[in-house]
Amino acid sequence: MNPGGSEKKGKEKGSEIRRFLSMKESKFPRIILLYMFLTGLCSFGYELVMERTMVIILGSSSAAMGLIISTFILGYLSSFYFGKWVDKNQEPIKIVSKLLMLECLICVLLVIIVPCLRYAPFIADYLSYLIFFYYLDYYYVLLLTLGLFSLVVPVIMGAEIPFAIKLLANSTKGSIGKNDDDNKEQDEVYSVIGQISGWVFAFDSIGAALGGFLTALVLIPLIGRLYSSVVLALTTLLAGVILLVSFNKQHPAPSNDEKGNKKKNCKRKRTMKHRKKMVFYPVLALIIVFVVAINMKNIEQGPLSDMYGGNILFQTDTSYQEIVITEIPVAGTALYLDGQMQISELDDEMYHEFLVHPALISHDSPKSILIIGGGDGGTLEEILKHDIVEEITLIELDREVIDISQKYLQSINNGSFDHPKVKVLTTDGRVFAREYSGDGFDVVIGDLPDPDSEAVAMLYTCEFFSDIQGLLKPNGIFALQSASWYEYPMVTASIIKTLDAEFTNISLYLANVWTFGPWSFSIGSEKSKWNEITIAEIENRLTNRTIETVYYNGYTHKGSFLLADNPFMDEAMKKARISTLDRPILQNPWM
Amino acid sequence: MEVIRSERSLPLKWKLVVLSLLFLFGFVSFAYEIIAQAEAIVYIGSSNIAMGLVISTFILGYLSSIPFGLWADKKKKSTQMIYVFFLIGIVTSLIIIYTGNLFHIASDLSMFLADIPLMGEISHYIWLLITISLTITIVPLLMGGVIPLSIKLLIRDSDAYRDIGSTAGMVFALDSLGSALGGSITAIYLLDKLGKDKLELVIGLSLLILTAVVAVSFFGGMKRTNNDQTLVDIPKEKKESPKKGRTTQGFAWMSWIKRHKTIFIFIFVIGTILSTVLVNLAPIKYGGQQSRFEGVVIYYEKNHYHEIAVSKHPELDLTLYTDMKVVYSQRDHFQLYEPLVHVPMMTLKEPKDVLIVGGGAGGALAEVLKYSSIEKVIIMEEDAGLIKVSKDYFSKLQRSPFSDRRVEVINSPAWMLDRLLNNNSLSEDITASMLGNFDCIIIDRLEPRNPYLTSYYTREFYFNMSKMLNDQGIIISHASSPILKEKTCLVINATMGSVFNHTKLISGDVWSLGPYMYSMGANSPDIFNISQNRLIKKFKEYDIQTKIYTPYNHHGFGLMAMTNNILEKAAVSGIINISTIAEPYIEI
Repeated sequence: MNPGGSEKKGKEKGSEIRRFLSMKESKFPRIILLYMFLTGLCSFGYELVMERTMVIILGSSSAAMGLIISTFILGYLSSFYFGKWVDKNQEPIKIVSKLLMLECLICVLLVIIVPCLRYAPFIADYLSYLIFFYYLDYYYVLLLTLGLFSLVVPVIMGAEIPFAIKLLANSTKGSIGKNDDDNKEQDEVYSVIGQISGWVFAFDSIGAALGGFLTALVLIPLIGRLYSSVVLALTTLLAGVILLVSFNKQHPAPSNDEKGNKKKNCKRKRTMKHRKKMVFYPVLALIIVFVVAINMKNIEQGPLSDMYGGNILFQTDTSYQEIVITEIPVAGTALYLDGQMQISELDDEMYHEFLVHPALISHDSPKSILIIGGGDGGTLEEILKHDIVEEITLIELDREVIDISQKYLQSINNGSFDHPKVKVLTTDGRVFAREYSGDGFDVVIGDLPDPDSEAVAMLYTCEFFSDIQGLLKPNGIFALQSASWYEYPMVTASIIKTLDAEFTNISLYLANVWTFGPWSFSIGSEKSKWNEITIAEIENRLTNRTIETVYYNGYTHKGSFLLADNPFMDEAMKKARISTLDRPILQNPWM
Repeated sequence: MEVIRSERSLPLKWKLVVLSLLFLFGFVSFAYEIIAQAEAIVYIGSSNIAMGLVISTFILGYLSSIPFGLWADKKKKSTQMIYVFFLIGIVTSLIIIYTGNLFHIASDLSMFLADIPLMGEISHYIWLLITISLTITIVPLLMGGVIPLSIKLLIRDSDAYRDIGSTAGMVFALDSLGSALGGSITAIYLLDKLGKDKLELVIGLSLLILTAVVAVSFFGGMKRTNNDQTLVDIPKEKKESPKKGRTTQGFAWMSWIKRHKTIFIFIFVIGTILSTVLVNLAPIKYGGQQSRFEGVVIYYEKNHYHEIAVSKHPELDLTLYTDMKVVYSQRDHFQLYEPLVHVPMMTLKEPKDVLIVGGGAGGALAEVLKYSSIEKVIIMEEDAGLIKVSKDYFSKLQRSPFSDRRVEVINSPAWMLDRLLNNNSLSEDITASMLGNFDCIIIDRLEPRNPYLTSYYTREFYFNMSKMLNDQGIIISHASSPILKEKTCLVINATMGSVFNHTKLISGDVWSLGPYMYSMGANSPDIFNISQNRLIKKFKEYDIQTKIYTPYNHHGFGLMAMTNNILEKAAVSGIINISTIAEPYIEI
């Protein structure tokens, strides 16, 4: 095939643009657009994979998202430098081979960086006492380290757009491989440059949109975070190789027929040598990707056991979160969601007793109970101790958490999911609360993770609490865990304030959960007079309902409510605001 | 000095500088060898292996003289060689300053490498030897360049062949003289006198400053000729540059700066390095301790009583450790000390005299001094070093309670109190003020985890303390964690119960320690059931600023301690013994 440079010389400007749009004569412009599509797909897929990993390390999705987006945009600034380079080196073969090399580099880096991201906390640890980072907070050093990690790939990716525009402009000129100084042709490029850049950006964005979508919904749930990065890396490599192969087809090496033409022969030799050399890079990249992909789990496992404080029994990525089950020396088996510990055997009694019993004991006759969250099943077990309860509904967003808890957390839930009184629904709590039309519940218990991401924070808002009120019977009680009052006093205070806006009779109570540290719970109701209950009455009800507890009794019930009244919380209450769907309170380390 | 005769070679004074630098490098490299050996022993354990490792890696490292020599033959400019000389000095000094940190990183790295499944066959110890030898090699690798470079510098003229013998001989002689002096002085005197951490700082910093001074004066006196870039002394009349005439007078300083560009850049670089090192002196100094405490260690001391460390903890900010345990932190000190102090003090009618046993961290004292009725506080802390550290590092946070005039510090252990009183070793007015005079005794000591600490938790000790209390007095002590160490809690409470008529457990909740208990004891009946209204009235009277304690939650601390497992275990007799001097209870 021939680009047919000589034919075009006589043609008018209008037909030139049409040729460019239809692209019938040459496949190469279309291949460039395909290349842009694939790389766009990879860059956003990679962004998503990095974000999922960073959420686990930072524990806050908003921080991870902010960091990733800003570093990516910052990294793309390198297009400035690459643009300069591409204007100096006009030859398309040079551009294409450079692009292939960069894609190979991206491919290798992508596979290496994702598992190595877990080492960032350790690197940050060293940085924090080696250099002048000593005066910086550890959290910011960690952010800096993660930022540097995520900056590497977008810096290289910055080359793609200027290179692609240059190549496309070159192919429309119809004189690839020649250094033509004809003024008319330069004008032709000038006349179509807007369209060229438009097309390139359009395909890049289509790829990016699809990449983000596919990675989040298909790749990560299907094959996990790590192997998604391998797929993305191979796609990047493929894009580079397609570009090169298509370019080579378009511009075959000068033939060897004319024996007399020494100059041409020499050129042919040179190009053949160059093309052979270009095969080397993708092959090397493939080998590296293959070796890393085999050892990926091992690479990530290194720091994992340190991060999770013990042996990892089980690990999986679902479409909502990363679930890890570990065996920790003192605390026993523990459940982690997105790197945050949810429950351990040691905390089981302390946490669940204080979440469940104050509400259920304060109620005269709790018959139907609703649990929102609580996939570990510890809450269920405590509620089932009240033989007066007739029906329990448990709503959990992620079915897999329940399956895994049934398998690994027997010591926490004691097989409570199989109890005939229990009904498990896998829906979103907010949807359930909006659409529910039944008799209502006596007690609703919110056993939710901390509001460290937008998704969970929506369950601590004014709107959700008012939906909950619709679920409750007239003298129903709502109890929920309300984060660490000591570490994040603002979060606890805002939960209490939000609760206060919806319920008339509210209170905070504190208990010390061993691995969580000082912990808080909240309780709210419309009419129930739970706060007038006496110690004797609590003890009485505990014996009547034949409940055996470890930490909870009449004294500790009263004590935990008394302790909530302290100046530390008062101070936080003054600053806190009501959390609404419009502006939810997020638990951030810099709060 | 015959060698320094030729015109094209270095001027005499710079030859002398090179020779003195040579001597200095020899000195430092062997001092470093001694330091590296001392550091390596800490990680490797055996002095034989450490010695062998250090010597062999040093000799191996010197092999770098080959590439340095090749480089020196290729590049002809003597300025470049002197640049390299200074660079070697600066990098070496930085490495020496950071030796402790580097060794720590090496040992961490070996741990990490041993964990990688693919390399599982090689044991951790082998990895440790490899990483540590690699760490040691850096300095000899740099120092290997010194000898070929200095020989090259000293004989830069046409008659090189004639002078080579004498020059090489002199270079080697000076280098070995420096090495011998450095090795022997460091090993015999300096290491013993200063200790590893300080020695690294002193040697590293002095090398850095000396190199910097020499380098700055070198670039200051340096002039380049146009035809060849060697160093030549230019007569003074040549100094006027032809450019001066062309530039306007206003911008004369610009050309002056341009001409002396190198010196400015050098001063800037040296200044940056120096200021970085000086700002981080404390963390560098305690580099070897970093792995044992969380966060950046900024002070470390091991004395007769305690192992004291102050670190900048990632979660707790400034934190004080004694014996590897957090006793005071900027972020959660009130959680530990408010229940310990305010619950007994608010229970009392009017606290006047208080005895604090231990409490060198100053947390309890700061809380006690909030009461306006206090007349005298006596602290019995045997460790004067701890009080000094708390004054030095934490006085900004709590307005140094030790400088209050009502406070008296006695630097002797409280468990010897009866002996001290019998021997009249305390002054008379203190003795008089002690017996039966205290309203409140606060025992602020770590849990009984070793035989020494158990003496603060025995029946005999409590009995001695009870003699100090007045009739209405209250004693309070730490009682460990109720979840992991239930038995400690109950034993301390029972021991207190064997001396005092009434005891009560109260529960705190500390961020760094988890759920935490205290045991209170008193003789007067019904003292703990103080009414809420009286508490509120008193609290307003004293006008105390607290963070978690209020009269409203006063009884909450007591109620929270009455968990089912504590009550049940306390009821079952036989589990709980009473701790005595003969049979002390040690927490496992």
